[in-house]
Amino acid sequence: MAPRRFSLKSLRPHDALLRVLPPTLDAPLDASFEHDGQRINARSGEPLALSLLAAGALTLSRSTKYHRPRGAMCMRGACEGCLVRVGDTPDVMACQTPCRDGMRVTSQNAFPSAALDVFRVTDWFFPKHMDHHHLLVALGRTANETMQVVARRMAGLGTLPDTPLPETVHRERTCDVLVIGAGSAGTAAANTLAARGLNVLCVDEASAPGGWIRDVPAAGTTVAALDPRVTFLGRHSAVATFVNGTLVVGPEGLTRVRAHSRLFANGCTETVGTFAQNDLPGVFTVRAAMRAFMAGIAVGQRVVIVGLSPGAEALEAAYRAIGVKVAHASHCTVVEAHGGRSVRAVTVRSERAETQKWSCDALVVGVEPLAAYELAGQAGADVKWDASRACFTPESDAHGRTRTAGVYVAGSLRQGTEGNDITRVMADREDGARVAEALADDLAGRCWEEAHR
Amino acid sequence: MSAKVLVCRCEDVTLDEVEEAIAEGNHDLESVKRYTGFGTGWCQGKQCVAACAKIVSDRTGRAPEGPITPRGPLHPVALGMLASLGATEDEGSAT
Repeated sequence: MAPRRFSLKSLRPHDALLRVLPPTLDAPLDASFEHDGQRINARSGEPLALSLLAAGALTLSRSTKYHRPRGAMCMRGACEGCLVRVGDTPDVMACQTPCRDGMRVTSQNAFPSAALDVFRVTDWFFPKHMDHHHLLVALGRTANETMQVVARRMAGLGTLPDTPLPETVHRERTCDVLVIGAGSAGTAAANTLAARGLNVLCVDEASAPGGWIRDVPAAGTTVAALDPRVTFLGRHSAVATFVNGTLVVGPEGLTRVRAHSRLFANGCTETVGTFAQNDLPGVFTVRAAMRAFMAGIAVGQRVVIVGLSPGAEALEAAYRAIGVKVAHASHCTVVEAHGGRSVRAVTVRSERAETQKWSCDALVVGVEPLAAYELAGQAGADVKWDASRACFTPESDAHGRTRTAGVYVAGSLRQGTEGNDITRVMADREDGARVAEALADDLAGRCWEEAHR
Repeated sequence: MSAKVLVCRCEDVTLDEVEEAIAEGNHDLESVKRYTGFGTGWCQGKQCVAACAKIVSDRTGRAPEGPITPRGPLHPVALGMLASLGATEDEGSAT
């Protein structure tokens, strides 16, 4: 029982999923690479974390302190689970790195490998947690210093490359408006701004626009195209944003973008929530499992989906269509994931507080995604706690204006993820356009003021 | 098998540890961060800040005032790439 690639032939001939799944999924595997001494066949261009997953490599890394097994959990660069060494480069996020023929992938911070790490004893030695504030002090000075040396060697992430990494050159770009995120809201905003005659640059972590719907195996949702007048930078993540520049990082290096206005439509961060063993390999967010599905990979063969976050129902339907055994505990919460090196079972609690234990080889958890407030907050938006969403959100007026002039927020970042898969996408598109209109009005007003001062 | 609840995966901070931090008198998010180190790892708090805020709020009965300061880089960048920016004029400060 393990993750596996599925064939398009496993779907019924007229299944709507065939319209959204790429036809290349049935092409022969064209790449071969090495992972901790094992040869793996994969599809070049797919995320390396998915190549590893499809080969059954669930444990990719070890946690920094307790050496607990970890694997890809979010599949979109927002967790530490898939960090590996590729060739000579440490700390590569396998989920953000395309698989290439001939790659040499090794695990880090583990002996002899992430799959079998003897330092796991630390985890068993400290069953609750390691109390740094008192433990090392109580041991006395010499023991304390020795422990620190040992701890420093065991902890941390990766080791430096043997030879310096190639130098990169940074790029400078200017635009009227920088739109961060090319999902439903970001695409609508960028298109609206371009239609108003503004010079728009739009960045997204994915290689193509679409955001969330690109990952959803649901019929009826289509990715809206970006206006050709919009400059799109794919595979670029915003790193930091300052008054007179925003840094974005891509495969070739850093780009500094200077823009009159910044519109944040960078949506949400998916998470699995807090439960016992929530970090076990084989525990995925709904979006991670959806990304795997769209690449032709089922995360398990006996999958339990818990919760009702965006995409959970679409994922359940998709798994049924390809013959994966799936149980969906839609109105339950996870109590504990069971297993030593990867998920073997899950205990869930129903709304009536009844608990049940189900065996599975993958657990997909759909809790409400968290607003990715960080960049907007850095740009000067007020950030407040939203008790109903149980996360921090940037404050904005009806038109997405924040406390700081020239800084706007739109889409699920500010309005959450209420509604079904279709209504939510429509709401995000509407919001993107609404905020973009306000931004364009403000810019026009500012230009008029400057001309008549 | 130790059934740890991981609040912050990157820095291996458990629920038990956050609860102890609160019991030690750290009653706001920033103090709990300084005591446990949550939110200071690879993901820079994308996964854990909301969870920790909820725990602190539930235990203390006070709504969270605000998140820990979201400083850059929010996404990991190689030092060599940062060096490629070279000596530049003052970039201004993040607010």
